[in-house]
Amino acid sequence: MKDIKAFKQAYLQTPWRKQIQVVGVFLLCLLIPTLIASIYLNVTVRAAASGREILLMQDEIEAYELENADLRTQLGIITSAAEMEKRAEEMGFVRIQQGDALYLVVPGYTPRQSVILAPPPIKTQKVTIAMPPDFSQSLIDLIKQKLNTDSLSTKGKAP
Amino acid sequence: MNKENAWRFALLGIVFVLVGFLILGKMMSFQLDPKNRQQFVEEQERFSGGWHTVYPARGHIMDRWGHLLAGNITMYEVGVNVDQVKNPHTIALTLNVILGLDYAKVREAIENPAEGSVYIVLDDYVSKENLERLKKYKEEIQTTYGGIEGKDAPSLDGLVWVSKLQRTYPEKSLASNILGFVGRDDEGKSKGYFGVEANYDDLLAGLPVTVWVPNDPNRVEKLPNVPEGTSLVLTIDLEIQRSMEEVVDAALEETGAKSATIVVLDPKTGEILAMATTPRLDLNKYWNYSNVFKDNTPFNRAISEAYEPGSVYKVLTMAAALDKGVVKPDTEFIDTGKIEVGGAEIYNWNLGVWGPQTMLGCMQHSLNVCLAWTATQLGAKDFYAYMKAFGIGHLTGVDMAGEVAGRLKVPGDTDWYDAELGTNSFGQGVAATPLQMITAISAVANNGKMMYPHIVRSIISNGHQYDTEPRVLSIPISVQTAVTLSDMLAESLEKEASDALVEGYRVAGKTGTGEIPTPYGYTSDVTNTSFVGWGPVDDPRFVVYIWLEKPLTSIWGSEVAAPIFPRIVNKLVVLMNIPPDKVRHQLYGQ
Repeated sequence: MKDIKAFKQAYLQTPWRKQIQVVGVFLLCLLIPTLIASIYLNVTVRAAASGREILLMQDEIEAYELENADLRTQLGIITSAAEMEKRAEEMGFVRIQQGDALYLVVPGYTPRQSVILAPPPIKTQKVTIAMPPDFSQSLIDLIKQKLNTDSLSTKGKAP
Repeated sequence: MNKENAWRFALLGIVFVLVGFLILGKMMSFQLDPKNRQQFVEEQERFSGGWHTVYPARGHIMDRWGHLLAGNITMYEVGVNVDQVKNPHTIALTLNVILGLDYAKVREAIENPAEGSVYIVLDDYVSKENLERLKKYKEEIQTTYGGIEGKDAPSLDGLVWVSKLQRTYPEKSLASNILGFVGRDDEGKSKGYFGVEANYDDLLAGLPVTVWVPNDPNRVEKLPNVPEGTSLVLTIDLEIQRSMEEVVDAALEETGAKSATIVVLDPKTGEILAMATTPRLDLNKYWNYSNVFKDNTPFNRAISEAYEPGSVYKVLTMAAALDKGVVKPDTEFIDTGKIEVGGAEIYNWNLGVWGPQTMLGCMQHSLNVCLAWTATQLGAKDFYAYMKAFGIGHLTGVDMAGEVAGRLKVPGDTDWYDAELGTNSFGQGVAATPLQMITAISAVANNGKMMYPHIVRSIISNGHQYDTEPRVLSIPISVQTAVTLSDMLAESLEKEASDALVEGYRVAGKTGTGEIPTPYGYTSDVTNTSFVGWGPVDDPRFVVYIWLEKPLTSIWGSEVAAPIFPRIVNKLVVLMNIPPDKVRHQLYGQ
């Protein structure tokens, strides 16, 4: 007991221990907000960078869309009737006249069909909702159901 | 604390307290003064982001095989961010040299912007080539003078550009009368004018979405997915359209006519295969509209100009009379060269007397007297009932903007007289558009059924293609009448050895010469000449309507309009893969 008292006294009375304690608490107080601030800063910076990236990607998508439109139009221009005729003439082709055509029966031949650029609309069917009651019933409904089930089971079955 | 330093700490404390009070005071002024608060909120909103309207790309227009007729191309809006401008002179000079803008106007706009504006548009719809030049020049200026400070240092800082899509037409003037164009309305917004562009403007344009785009990257959100405008597949065949436009241009040159119009229709479906007319506009230069279409010239004569068609109208009169049973192909009529209807005397086109004629002869020689007699046999009530059933005087409902209804006066109208029955029977005193005429007459080629004429074959929206189904517009005559009349008109061409005959193909048709009404009566020296024909008679694949306005080489439809028909058919049979009748019958027989 005497030893403990002496130890306590020695501890309390040692000034450098007290100073270390104060400095320790101060550093702890400094460290925790710094840690929180650095985590917050890190997350914020990453969020901002991601946001910026999204903005850049949106710009990129827009640029690609414009490029697509341009390319499609370019294709339209180089395959325009006037351009194609010019190229055909340069390659030595001549326009077919009515009497030049030779008509033959080709088994399995299907005449040229109009362009199909997208699938036809899907016929919608009436959908029957078969969702299990677990997704829609409330807790009270569940308890009621359980109680009813239990009461029925306790009654037993008719012979 | 050292006493010498105490006053320093006290002063610092006072400064902090004062700053604190200042902040508090400003905060209170924002809270208590609504004007101040409003101004602050506006400032904050101005710099925190901006409203951004996402315009969907305008839908494409294609011909029936998918050839692009109307698409989009990237253009640029050039402007300045006012706060970033360092040297207005350099910007004004650059835009003057590269884009041809007025130096003084540009400089004035930059130096004296409207109050509160942060961005000024200096030019719109700048081409990609010009923008590349501008971009390159900006880079050069930056490289050369980038490090130099000072008010007079050349600088294009603040000059910015934004890309956008503009309508473009790869085929230029081809099918321009059908397509119409996209221009800008009074508010500067894109808008479809004429034809398909105007009729389907809302569908093609799609729905723009306006969203708030914050400058703060932490608050950034995904832009909404704005679906493209609806695309359209037309019924026209680019090659047929092109051929018809060539024929129209050649006819105009050969005959000296004021205008020429050709419509080609599939009688079984009502699909318009070609619609060529004059004048035509390079749609990429739509601003030349007023130079091309002078003096109220309609954009598309085939649907927007009604005229008195003359003898081609006899097809409808004869169809009505045969259908009602008042005449038969072999019914005899003795032509005395004159008939009086409602007090008006009617003569034949050559003022001649043609003696005994069957109905076939009446059609073959295009006798006004005979047809006026036929109309009187039918009676006004039935005659006009049939004309209404043929859609004369009504819009056909074609899906192009600018259609007119023409005029059919009927008993009961204040300006209808008994004599009208006689004159209307041969196409005088009645006004119809070429499309109305071809739609009505297509009933004869299609077993009595008049199909709804249409230009859009499919609509592509939200990733699906919706095809339009052929619809019956009216059934004015029976199958029997249609077959009989078709045969009569084929025979009449053959007997007449008409210029409209086509080697290898049996075709039916009728010429028309219409005098032109003026405030002083009808003209005889200038006419509207027409021809309507279809083939092959036993399985019609096309109906062709030709209208030449005021030709100079001849006033007769049989001499100027009829010879154009075989030229057209010779092109059509190749482009539509229609073998000669003999070959076709052999092939079918195999």
